[in-house]
Amino acid sequence: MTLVKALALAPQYAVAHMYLGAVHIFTDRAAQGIVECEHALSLDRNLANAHGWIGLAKYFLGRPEETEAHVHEALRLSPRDIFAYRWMMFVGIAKVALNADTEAVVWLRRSIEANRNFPMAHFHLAVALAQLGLLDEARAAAQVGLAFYPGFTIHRFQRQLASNNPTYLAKRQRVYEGMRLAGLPEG
Amino acid sequence: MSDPTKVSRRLVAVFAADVEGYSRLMGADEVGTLRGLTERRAILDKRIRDHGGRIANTAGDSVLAKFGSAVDAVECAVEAQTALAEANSGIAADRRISFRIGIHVGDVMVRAGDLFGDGVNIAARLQAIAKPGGVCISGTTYDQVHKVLPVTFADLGVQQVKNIQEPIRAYQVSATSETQGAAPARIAETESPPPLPDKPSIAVLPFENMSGDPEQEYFADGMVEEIITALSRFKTLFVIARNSSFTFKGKAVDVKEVGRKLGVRYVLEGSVRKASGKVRITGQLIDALTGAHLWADRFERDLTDIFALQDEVTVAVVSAVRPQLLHAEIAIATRRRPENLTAYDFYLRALPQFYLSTREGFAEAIKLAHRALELDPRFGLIAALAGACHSSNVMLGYAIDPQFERKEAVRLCRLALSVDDGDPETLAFVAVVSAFMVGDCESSIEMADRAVALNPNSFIAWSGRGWVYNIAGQPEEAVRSFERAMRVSPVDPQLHRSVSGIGFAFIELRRFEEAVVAAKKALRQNPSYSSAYRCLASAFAHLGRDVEAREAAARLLEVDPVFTVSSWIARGWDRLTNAKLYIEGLRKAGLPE
Repeated sequence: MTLVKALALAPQYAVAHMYLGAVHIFTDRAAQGIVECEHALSLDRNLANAHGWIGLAKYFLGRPEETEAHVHEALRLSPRDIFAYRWMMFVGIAKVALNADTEAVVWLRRSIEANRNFPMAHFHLAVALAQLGLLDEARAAAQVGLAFYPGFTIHRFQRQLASNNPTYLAKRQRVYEGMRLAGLPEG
Repeated sequence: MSDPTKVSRRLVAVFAADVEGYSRLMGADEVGTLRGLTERRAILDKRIRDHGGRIANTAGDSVLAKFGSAVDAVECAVEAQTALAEANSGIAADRRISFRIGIHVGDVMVRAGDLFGDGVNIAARLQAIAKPGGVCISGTTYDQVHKVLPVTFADLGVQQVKNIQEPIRAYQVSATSETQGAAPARIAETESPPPLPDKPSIAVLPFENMSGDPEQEYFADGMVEEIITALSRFKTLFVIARNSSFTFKGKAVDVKEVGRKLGVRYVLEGSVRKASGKVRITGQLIDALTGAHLWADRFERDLTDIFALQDEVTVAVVSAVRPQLLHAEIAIATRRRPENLTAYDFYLRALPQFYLSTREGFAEAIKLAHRALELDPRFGLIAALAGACHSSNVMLGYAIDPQFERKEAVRLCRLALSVDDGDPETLAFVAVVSAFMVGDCESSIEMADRAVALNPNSFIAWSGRGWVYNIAGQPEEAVRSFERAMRVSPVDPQLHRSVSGIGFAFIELRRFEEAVVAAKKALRQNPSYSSAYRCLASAFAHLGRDVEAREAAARLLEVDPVFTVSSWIARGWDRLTNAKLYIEGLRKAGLPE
């Protein structure tokens, strides 16, 4: 609501459009979210973060193969962005959905390199490593994540669905599977 | 082959392999290692033969082979590594004999069956990058194989390798599951700087606060953000976003390093100092590739209204930096070898021709625009520029077949809009062409207003808007637009157009003295610009300065020999009644009807 109010006051404020887009993206309205983010970009071409959100939205829409290109746009505009760790994690997650686990590991490690304190990147790294059969490393990554976020459980993660897209839901199975292999608590 | 000194050149896939830790293995167990190596060489050699490769050279543990196809070479490498991994199974980790393989596609010299040249060296360097049991390929190899082979590739980024000048993009081939695990750690280390985009790219670094007053920090940061936003409105520029620029805040930086890390050609840096109610801002534009200073300037203002000051400095900096960038890029495009020109290079080469405003200049600009459009049919701005050239040909009397030029102008502008109707400069060109060629003032005004709203710092947008308002019969608004154009780009190479445009408006406003000054200024910028002579002749005639009016008329006939008042009206003013005083002046100056 605050965002809608902000936009009523300043309809040309690109950042507000982008965050409204992000809200849409996390609440099963990814297509609408992309429209908002694209509008934000038409107002400010330099809003690197909007590219990042679009990348994530594509994953929620069951099109993980498109995520990387959007993140590349974001990274090209802002190679050292404070949000770069999130964008790189988005690609890592998308790569897991594409069964490209080696590439996922690369992106998730880059993400962690950029911000070591973000637990979700560690959990997703654990998933990718587990899917590669590197169970020792997967467990280690899971433990690092748990140290930052001790309350994390697979059950809790399962309930946080950003979209009802069937492809997205089906691809999430690999994530749950990897989490179990990595020894994350079921909850 | 019979002549051992004969050297020929071939384009081949070069395949280089060696054993990781060979000396260590030999030191530990000479006999065993040699036996192991012989067995493995048999495996490797067989795969090379099976895939149509030919071994060019072997030395100890290393093998150099060539393939006629990149796909064959990579397939061979993947299969060989799988087979070699099997041979290693059951052997203690420190006794394993693991090959590293590098593949590059390049032009090499062949002498007596052996391979020489850069291509071979690159393959060898790639092999050194590869992990034990892994395969590493160059970007050129990747381009050939990534869509064909069912293996995955991990981008290792751009690598600077020993004794090779150009950095090489490297990819790791994920062959077997065994080689996958250990790869990523190394990739994180070798993250590559982004490549330069094919348009001018710039990063604006936070201005240094030298005043010792933390209050100025906000001021300086805010201004840099304004400058970043203002620059990013030019679609022909690539501007690094704020968050990345600001990671360099408060750090002593090497500009070349910044350019490399952010992947930009130019860096703008500056400083802010404050003393007794005054603020002094310096800025400098640096070519990050060479370290050369392209521009530096200093602004001093009263520190009263912070926002007004920020706006003012932003306009001043952007109006100085943007033409500098364009000039620098034009100079680079002029030096580039013709076979390597991109669509954007053709655009850069067309610009100076367009600026000339001569018959030959327009013809050349149109030619270059068409070559750009062949390479990139979705390059809207250059289509609009070509449209503007055709339209100018009609308006300045250069056209041999005005009907054709009119049609071309309209066609190219439609094309430009269909590609991108949100680019301010495209909109400005199209607005002017549409006003002159079609006479649709309402939509021209709409487009021109939109252009300046999209980029309030664009000379082309303001100047185009001025002409549109001239044609629409609103000279006051035209004057305002031209003044704005001259403020945002005081040394613009197209200044003569704006200045003679403002002269036109002054005549309709009966401000004839000012029209004379403007026309003379336009002629200083471009002594062959017929529009400026017309303006001068008309203004002098209205002032009753007949001798000068006739002289201006005579000069006009030199640069535009076929000029007659009626034919000029027919060029585009026939359906408009907004040039009454201007035309009256032309007749008074004694120009032929």
